[in-house]
Amino acid sequence: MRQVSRLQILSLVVLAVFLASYASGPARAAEPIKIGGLFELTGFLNPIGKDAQQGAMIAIEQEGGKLMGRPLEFIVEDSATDPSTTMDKARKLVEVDKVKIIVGPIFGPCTTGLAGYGDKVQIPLISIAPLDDAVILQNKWSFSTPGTDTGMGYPMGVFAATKLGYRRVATLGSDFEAGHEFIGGFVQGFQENGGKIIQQQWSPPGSTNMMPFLIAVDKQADALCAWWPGAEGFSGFKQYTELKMKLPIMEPEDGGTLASPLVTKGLGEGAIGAYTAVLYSYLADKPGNKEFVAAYQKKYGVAPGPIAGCGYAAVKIALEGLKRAGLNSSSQKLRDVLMSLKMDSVRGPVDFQNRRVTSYTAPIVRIDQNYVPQIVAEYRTKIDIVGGKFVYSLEK
Amino acid sequence: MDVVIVSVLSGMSYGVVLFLVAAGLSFVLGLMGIVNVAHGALVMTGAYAGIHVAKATGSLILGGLAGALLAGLVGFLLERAFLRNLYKFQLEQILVTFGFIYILANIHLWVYGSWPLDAFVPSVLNGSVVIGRFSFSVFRLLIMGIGAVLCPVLWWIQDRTRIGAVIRAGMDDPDMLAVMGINLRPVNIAVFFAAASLAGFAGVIGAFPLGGVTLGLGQDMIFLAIAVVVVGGVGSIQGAFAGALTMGVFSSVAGTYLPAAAIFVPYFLMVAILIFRPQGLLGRSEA
Repeated sequence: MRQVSRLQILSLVVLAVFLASYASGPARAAEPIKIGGLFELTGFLNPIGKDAQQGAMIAIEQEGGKLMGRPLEFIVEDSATDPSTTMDKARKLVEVDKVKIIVGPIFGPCTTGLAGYGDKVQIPLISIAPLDDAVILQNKWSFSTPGTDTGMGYPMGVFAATKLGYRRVATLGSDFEAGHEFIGGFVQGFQENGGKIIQQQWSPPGSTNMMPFLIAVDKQADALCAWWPGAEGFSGFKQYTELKMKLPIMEPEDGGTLASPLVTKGLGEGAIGAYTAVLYSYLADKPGNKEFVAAYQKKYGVAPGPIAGCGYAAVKIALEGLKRAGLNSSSQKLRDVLMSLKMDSVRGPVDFQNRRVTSYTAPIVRIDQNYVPQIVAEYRTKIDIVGGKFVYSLEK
Repeated sequence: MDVVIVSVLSGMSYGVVLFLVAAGLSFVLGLMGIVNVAHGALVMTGAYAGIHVAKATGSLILGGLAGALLAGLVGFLLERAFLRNLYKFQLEQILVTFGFIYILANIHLWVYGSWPLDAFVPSVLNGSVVIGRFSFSVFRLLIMGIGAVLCPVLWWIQDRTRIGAVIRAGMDDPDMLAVMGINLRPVNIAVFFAAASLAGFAGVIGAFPLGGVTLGLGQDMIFLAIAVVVVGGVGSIQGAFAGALTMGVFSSVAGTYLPAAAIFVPYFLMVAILIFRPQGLLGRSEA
């Protein structure tokens, strides 16, 4: 038998120590900071869910993969435009991935269910689109970054009455909370300025056959105010174009479709001349917007639509909150920081004012002959909470 | 008056699309006893492929054939690989085919992206007919014409040809058919392929009245198609046609005059038929 020399034994020991230190090395490196993203990548809102994800990715990439010296990880899950899937994915993000904060999703029924979970596990939830009024008032860990649905529709109603001179308007909205609130905000702003709503219709959520509702619009109306999110907007405008309706059309919020550079042209001639308030405009002169638009165009070949801008802004708010709360901060500390967060964004100033909802700027755009959403007005909606209800007015 | 006319015509064009989707589903259910909830996803599969071919070639006919062929192939693979051993297991059929709705939707998301796909309308059919305040598309009239031609052709095949007789006999008494030496298996495969092809074709021409093709089309269409099959009657072309037109027109008129009830109309009709005429409007009575 060959004798093992002392030198060979020593070499083996050195090798073993080296391998052991190498194996344990990565465990000692800094743990990543994890942010969760829930987006509608499938389901009837998947077009705008994808937009939001793309905008969010630009915000993450601008951090260069690190936050406060630690690796930054953005874990994206598909909420599938479905509340139960949203809950499953949220549980995975919180309990398995251990994220510190979640951005998204968009769909109202999903954010409503998620808000209760956020309160239970005490993790901040940053919305991409406006949250339902009830969620903002009742749930303590949900932050509505672009204000409220009602507050979004409000300035469009004011604009329709005071600038466009409409007196009688018919409305047609998607029949779920967001539809009722966007249209409700429009109705409030319109009626406060002397207008009259002569008809209200509600189409089933996800419906792509708008013909019955469009042909039923009251012929006494001066204009139609419609709210169609995602794929509904695509069908709605196509069928409005098909019918060659002479009635002017506007939206209290573009639903991620009308003012989205990727799809506006595909909506047909009926989109030309349409007005809408938008959550974000790539043409707006806001801090950081030029850089965001340039980065988005470079990566995706098209200017960002309203929901892409909202995805970007939501992640920026989450990142700023994490930075200000500091490394290894608790969830409560992070929440407290967000409650008093004031910052600039590509959407205009963000100021939560200890209320988890920020007043915001709503550009009103008109689709021109080249399908470009030109800004024609800008309103800043002031949100007050009086007696447990939201009260809206326009800031001077 | 223009509202009524456009509402009914719009419902009829929508009904023809439902007919093309439901006819195949009806035969698959009646002959093979298979509940294929992925049938709506085959509509989507045919629509995406067919419309891209139509836009590339400028030909609706080529697009329709391409959509029909691809959907037929996918249906064929689905039957051969997964469903052939599940003929007697309805729960398993539903689970497997339900999973395929998501598989096909995600494949299409990966290949085509998330935004809805616009329909292809040949320039020669881009015009419209003025009805009062509204314009009604010539393409919708074409769709109604396609239904008016296809329904009697399929009805003739069902009632006047040997293959139609074999299919009807297979629905009534497959054991007797086997005793007579007729192998039903190739018939089943052919019917499944034809049903899937019809669904794919429906997707190509139906994209227009449906306002474009979305990834969720499969789920939207299948529930309506099942309702049409129940209303019209299982295993009957004329039943599928009657059920689809009834459903289309009722849904359209309800949407116009009773929008709050529009979403319930197809299912209300289905329940009413199940109570008062369980075999459907023109379905085959139980032997």
